[in-house]
Amino acid sequence: MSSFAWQPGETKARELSKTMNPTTQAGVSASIGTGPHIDVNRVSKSFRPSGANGRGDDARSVVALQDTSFEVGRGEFVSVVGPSGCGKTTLLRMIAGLSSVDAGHIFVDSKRISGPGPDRAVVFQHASLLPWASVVDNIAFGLRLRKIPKSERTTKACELAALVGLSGFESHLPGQLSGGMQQRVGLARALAVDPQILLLDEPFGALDEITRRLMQDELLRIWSGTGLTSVLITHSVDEAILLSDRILVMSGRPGRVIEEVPVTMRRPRERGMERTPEFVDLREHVWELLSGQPAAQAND
Amino acid sequence: MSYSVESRHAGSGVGRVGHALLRVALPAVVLVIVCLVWNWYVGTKHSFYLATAGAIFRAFISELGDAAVWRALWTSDISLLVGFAIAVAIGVPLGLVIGRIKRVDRLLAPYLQIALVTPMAVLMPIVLVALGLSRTAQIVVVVLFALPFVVVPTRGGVVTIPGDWLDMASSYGARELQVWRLVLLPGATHAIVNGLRLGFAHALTGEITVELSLIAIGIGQLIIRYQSHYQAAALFAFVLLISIQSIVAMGLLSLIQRKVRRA
Repeated sequence: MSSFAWQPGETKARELSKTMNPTTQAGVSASIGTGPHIDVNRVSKSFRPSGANGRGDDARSVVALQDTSFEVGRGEFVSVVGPSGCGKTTLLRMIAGLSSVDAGHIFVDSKRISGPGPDRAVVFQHASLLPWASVVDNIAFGLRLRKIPKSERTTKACELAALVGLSGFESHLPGQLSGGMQQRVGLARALAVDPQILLLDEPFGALDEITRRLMQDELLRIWSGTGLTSVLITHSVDEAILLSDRILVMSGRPGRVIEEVPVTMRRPRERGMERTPEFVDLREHVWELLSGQPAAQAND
Repeated sequence: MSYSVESRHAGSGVGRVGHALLRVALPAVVLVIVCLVWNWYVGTKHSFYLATAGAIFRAFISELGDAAVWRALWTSDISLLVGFAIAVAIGVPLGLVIGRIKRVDRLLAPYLQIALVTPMAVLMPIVLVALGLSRTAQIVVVVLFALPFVVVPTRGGVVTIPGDWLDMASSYGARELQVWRLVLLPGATHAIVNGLRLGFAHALTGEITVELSLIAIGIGQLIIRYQSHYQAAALFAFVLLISIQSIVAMGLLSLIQRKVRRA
């Protein structure tokens, strides 16, 4: 260990996360202290494997998450890491309102969530773009659902295309874009609906290393400008450290948060930080936590 | 340097023209060879039921100006078009519903499989007993032939839509109707048009089968007449005309498919 000191413990971690992010402080200082933005309270979730009968065969059900609790502060960037099959994506889907909880509650702004809402937007692992729709139409998808006039949504979509570095590609179809460009469209689509919470489900997991690093830099830049409350699911410890205020390390199945690791490095963060003692120590610590967790057979 | 570039461009232009010529010339060469082999075969048989390629071509030109031929085609086409339209009107919504609602899928999937593998021709006598030798019976047969081949690809088009797209739409708060309008229908359109092409081919098969075997009107009546009068050239020419009509119909459906893909 270097001079970097660990601050384990849930309460301590939350306090640190709320005080050590200059960007967050600048963007949402007025809101801090009014309670967590996202409150995951003793959430459990089980799945019945395909092929099991439909009579509630509890013996055959797989417990994906058990008694999982954590909070995310307003404007905080939290990453979730854990072994395959520990329920990371399930957790994100439940916060997004795409899956229900079996037990426990999830609150956003102290309101219990019962489904998807305009306050949350998801960036999916495989971009999930509609192949027949242009870049602009894909970005404007959420706006169209909200019946925003076409000229208005096109203007906004073009602005966001520029923000994510896709100027000149507005009328391209997803099939004409690289994987990284498709993910940029997915990110712009999420930002288009002006969410308060950005949920990122391994958005760079399918990208090559070079594109992945470029996209991480892009996300850092864009997030710094918005200060959105963000939850990132990732398999990459380095990515989690680079982007986050706090890392939630999950156990193997059944998944639960075994430690909240605050990332106290200054922002704005940049390339080269991976070599600093703080970064190296954080990486080692998270890997130590993960190395004790068995990976499940199935994906989460 | 510039010379070589120009040469390459000129060469590529010539290459394009040559490629286009080959695309026309090769099938034409195949046609000529088939005609020559056919004529040789006809020459060796001396049969009333056969005609040389030249005789068939002359009969074809003659039939183009024969009102009776067009009347026969139109008589059959009415049943074909009405039957196919009914099959599409029932089959597309049914395929969409089966594809979207799992309970309906489980309920009807076995019957769809049966309909796909059962030769519909065996149902024709039952239809005729129930409805008599009428145009209604003819239309019902066309519907029976086409319906499974419209329903199955349409269902396939819906069930193969990636769950990610539906999740994405749900995450932005899409209601069921919006999911249909913005995701399911555009996503399944390619498969639906494929179903229409398949359905049309089977509708035509049903139409001609019923006319040849049970209700001798329109195309079937004319084929039987040519056959019984040993008008081999006219018979082959008429079959050629039916084939061309089908190719035109399929071409139109392919055009729709391409336009949909581009849209």
